[in-house]
Amino acid sequence: MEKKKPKTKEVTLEEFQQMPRSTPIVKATATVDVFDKNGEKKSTLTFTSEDLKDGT
Amino acid sequence: MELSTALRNVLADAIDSDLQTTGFARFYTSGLTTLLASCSLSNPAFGTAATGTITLSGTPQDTTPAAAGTAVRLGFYRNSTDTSGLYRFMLGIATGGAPDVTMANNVIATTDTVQISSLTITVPSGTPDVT
Repeated sequence: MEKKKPKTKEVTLEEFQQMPRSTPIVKATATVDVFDKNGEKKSTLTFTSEDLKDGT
Repeated sequence: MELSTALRNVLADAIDSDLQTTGFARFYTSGLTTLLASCSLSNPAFGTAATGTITLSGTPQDTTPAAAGTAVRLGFYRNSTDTSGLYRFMLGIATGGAPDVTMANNVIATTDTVQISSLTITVPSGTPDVT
C-alpha cells in the first residue's frame, strides 16, 4: 500500500510573516510610573502586548 | 487551537513560578548594555491565575536607579545577579509605534523613582482554526 505524502506547501519567509495569526500566545498589560526627585509623576507608560513578535 | 481555562491557568502560573522566589524586573538601554533600574518583585511575583490571567503583586519600585539613560527593554529575571541575557521574558519599550510598552518619556534619571504600578499577563483561550 502506497504511503500518503504529508500535505505540505512551501512558502517564503515574507509569505509566512504575512499569514494571519488567530491565536495570540501571551498578552501582557502593564502600567509603569516614573516619578522625579520631587515625587512628581514624570512619565506613565502603559502597554498591551497582543502576541509575541520580533523586537524591533 | 483553543485552550481550556484550566490549562490557561496552569500556563499562566508557570510564568509566575518560572521567576522563582527572588524575581526582578529590570529596565535596560538598547542592546541590554546598561541596566537603568531594577525592581524587586514579591514572592510569589504574581497572584494565583484566574481565567488565564496572573496579576503582579504589589507595586515594585526602584528609588535609586543605577544609571541614567533611555529605557527600551523591560526584562524579568530570577535574580538580581543574573546577567542581562538571562531574562525569562522581555518586553520592548518605545515612545511611539506599536511596541509592547509605550512610554511618554522613557528617559530615566538616577534621581527618579521607577514603579511598576500594574502588570497582568494573560494566556488567551484562542479559537479552533479550521482554515
